[in-house]
Amino acid sequence: MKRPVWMSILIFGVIPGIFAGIQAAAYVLAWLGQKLFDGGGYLANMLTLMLVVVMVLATLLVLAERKWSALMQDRVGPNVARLPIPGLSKNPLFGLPHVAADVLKMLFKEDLVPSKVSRLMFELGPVLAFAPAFALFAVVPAGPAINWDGIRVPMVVAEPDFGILYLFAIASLAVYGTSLAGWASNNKFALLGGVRASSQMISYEVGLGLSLVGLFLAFGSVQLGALADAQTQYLWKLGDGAFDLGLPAWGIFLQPYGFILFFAAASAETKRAPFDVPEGESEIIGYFVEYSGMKFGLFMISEFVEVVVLSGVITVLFLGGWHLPVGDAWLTAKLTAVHPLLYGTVAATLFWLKVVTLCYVQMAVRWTMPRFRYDQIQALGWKILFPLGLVNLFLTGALVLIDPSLRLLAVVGLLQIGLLAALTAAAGPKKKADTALAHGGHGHDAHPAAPAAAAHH
Amino acid sequence: MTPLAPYLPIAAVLGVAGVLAVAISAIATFLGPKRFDPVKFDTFECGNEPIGSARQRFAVKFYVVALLFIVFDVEAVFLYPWAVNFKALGWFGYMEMVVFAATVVVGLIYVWKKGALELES
Repeated sequence: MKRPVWMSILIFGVIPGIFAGIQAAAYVLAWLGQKLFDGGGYLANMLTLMLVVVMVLATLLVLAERKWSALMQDRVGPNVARLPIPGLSKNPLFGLPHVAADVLKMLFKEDLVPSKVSRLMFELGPVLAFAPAFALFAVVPAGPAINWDGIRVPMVVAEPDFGILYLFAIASLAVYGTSLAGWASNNKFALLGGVRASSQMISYEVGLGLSLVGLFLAFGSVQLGALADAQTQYLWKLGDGAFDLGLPAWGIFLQPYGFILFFAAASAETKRAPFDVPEGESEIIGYFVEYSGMKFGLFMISEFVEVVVLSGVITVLFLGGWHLPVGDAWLTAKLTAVHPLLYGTVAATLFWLKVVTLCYVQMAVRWTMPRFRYDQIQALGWKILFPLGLVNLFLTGALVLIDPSLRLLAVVGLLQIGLLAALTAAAGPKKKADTALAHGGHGHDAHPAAPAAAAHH
Repeated sequence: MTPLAPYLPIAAVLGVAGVLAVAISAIATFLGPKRFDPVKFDTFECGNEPIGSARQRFAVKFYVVALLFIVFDVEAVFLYPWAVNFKALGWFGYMEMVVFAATVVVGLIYVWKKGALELES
């Protein structure tokens, strides 16, 4: 088959299909759990959403990152591992056997604890890095709560009223993991990585907290489910028919600067490029330099879990969660009339598709942007993100008070998007030589497709 | 439902997260081989013999960053309850928060001018 054909089947058929299947099963499990005892649905969701979906997605992102970096660097990427199954033993299966191979290797590798480390702190490091990252997803709703046979079936692990504060609180615990790992290793490189990581993470936490306050001002809540539902209202809409066309009050239209500030600050929190000086593999290796086997694996997987959680949070806060941009009420009514389970499954699948798209954006950012210098990271955090966050906050507050229908805020937001687009266009290639170069680069980008397709045949 | 019921799933999640993290590192400890070698178990320093210890003094700048973080993050925490009740408080609450934030901004300008934000000096 031609590459575009199977790629479109994969993107528009297989991936949504897998998510729909998982989500249908998750709703059924949550319903059964809720039927057994009150709160059983939450426990079932913890099993399906956190232990299955997020963990598997994070594990697959490790492979996706390797494949994507290979594509960016004109390589084929991981394709050597094979499954010893007749008929499949010659098929690289997109490198999927590498996921299993990686996990097995990490589990059976010697767990090397260097003799000069502080043993207890050394063991605590990966635990304190992984546990908060894993616990983060608890408050992110993956789908609507449906009413099935008189039982309210939630699609979130916990619904506390403090919502996003839980995220901030638990995310800041991850600092202990990295700084403990760096200090306990008794290694100069690890120590450097540890202090860099901790000072970078706490610097960006200020900007991270400020960047979202504008959104809370507009919607008057910090609960993620309520924030997702608040985005279904239309700012302007055409007609009052069953199917509405209009501009939804999505966070990204109301708070484009807030979105960019949050994305930048959260990327710094996950310590991914362009903010990856704590683990700059070409200079200091990082705070986990003395770890081997699965303990290093815990640091690695927690980074990818954070990528998934960040995508989920951005989806809920800025991209309408599980809602469609237009015609959401129409779809909800139609699907709920058939069966609430169908509506829940479709909505949650939509959520996961947005999450996967945002994961892809983070991969693309990582392999597009060069690494910042350490002092640049500090300057960006304190001198740009923090003051800009304050300005955005008070501007948003004034606009919400002047016009509580949020339309004025949306007008300013759309102007901001226009300004950003104009600035980006102005910063792009101007001269003819530059344009030619950009085109050459574009053609080059498409080139790695050839060896990958060849490997498939 | 007791008032504490919404927090039970969170307690469960934190428990599972802790157990999972400990279990994964414990499994790794028990499954792998153990072959002691003084060179292999030495601190990694690019293959050279380690010079001195890593338990040394390091730049005080990192300490300043931690202090600044506490000041400004506490300010951010004060903003959340205000944001949730924002529409009820109206312009009065808005001006109050402007005054509060102004004092913090004065602090930011002060540390900026003092050079506490420059790591290279």
